[in-house]
Amino acid sequence: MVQLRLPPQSRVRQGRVHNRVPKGARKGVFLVYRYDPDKDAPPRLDRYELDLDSCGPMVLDALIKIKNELDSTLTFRRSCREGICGSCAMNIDGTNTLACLKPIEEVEETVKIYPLPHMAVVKDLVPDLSGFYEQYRSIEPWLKNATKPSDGRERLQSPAQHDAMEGTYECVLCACCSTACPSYWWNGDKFLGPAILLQAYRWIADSRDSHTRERLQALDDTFKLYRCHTIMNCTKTCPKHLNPARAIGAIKQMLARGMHKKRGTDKQ
Amino acid sequence: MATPRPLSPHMQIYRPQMTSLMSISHRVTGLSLLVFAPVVSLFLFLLAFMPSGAGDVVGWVVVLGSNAWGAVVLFIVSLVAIWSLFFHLFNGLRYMLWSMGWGFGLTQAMISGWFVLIATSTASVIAMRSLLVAYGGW
Repeated sequence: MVQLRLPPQSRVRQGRVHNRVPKGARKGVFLVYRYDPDKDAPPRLDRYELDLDSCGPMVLDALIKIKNELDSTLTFRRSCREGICGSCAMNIDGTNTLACLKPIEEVEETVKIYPLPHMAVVKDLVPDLSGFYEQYRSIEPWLKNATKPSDGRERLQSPAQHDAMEGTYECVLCACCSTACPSYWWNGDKFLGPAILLQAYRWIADSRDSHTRERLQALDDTFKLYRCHTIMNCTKTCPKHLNPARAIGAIKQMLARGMHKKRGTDKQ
Repeated sequence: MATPRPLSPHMQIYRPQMTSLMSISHRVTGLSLLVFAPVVSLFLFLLAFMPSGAGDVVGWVVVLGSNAWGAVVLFIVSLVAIWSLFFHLFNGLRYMLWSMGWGFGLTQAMISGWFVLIATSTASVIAMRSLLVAYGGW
């Protein structure tokens, strides 16, 4: 359901100020969303002031510096620090991206950092992604093929068959796109959202998978697929520069052509 | 857990941009056309079967337009109607192209978005100006 305002207990109050910038240093100001599940208090926005000259170039570097030097209670997910694990997805300067790929310099003035939008917050910048992963499980993201490979060992693909999957398997499931989608905000319980639909398409487009028809049938649903109204916030925000909107468009076209009804719609 | 997990901010913090603004505008202009369509069709019905009634309506509008503020209101209302019409038309074409699988690239989507905005404004100005010129009001 569309609910434009946040519930009262979710509204963000002004928080504390942490400042340890030497005189004359290049100062960077970061406003960070904080929520502590162990305290009975609503979320707040803390202000951290950093010396940028002794800080790495990316927003993740700043968060790590804050945790190391200013406030060890700040909680966020991170792992690879090079855009391949998808852990540090958050809302920075109004759009979703990976903190490790977002240069501090790209943000003018104050850097505002929130958790991924319209999600239940576990702590600080850590959202609850279990619903997202449950939806991923629902599309059965594994190879399904009843037949044995023709050479008994592996299923070969032509370069063209591989190209059909280009831009789908590179997804790191960071959930930036899904949580940037207003449709997913309002119907995230029933609409699969751009990330999961892109992955659904990944298996539909895979020449080695023989369950195209069943996969399309499973998606032919007012909510699962058709809550997508081609807003394209997903494609705009993807930190890996993938295009979920195009993949969803391709699924809709296959359904419009009736490929979920006909037999023998394999891609071979 | 004492309190339920808070909901992270969404509309309040997400940066407005071409993609989302065009989408919400399409809905808003669609709604505005939904309001204007019955008004226009009822007026046409009146004009066809009860011309004197239609004359009354025209009379009220003339009275409203003779007042300075009334004229401003009339101008804004007609501008909204005309702009909605062309925006919904051009952006609807953009949606049709997407439905045919064309224009999903980010750059293409930006270009088509600007095209819709420019085409809408141009068409609105041309439409209003030609009406004014046709009736010697320019």
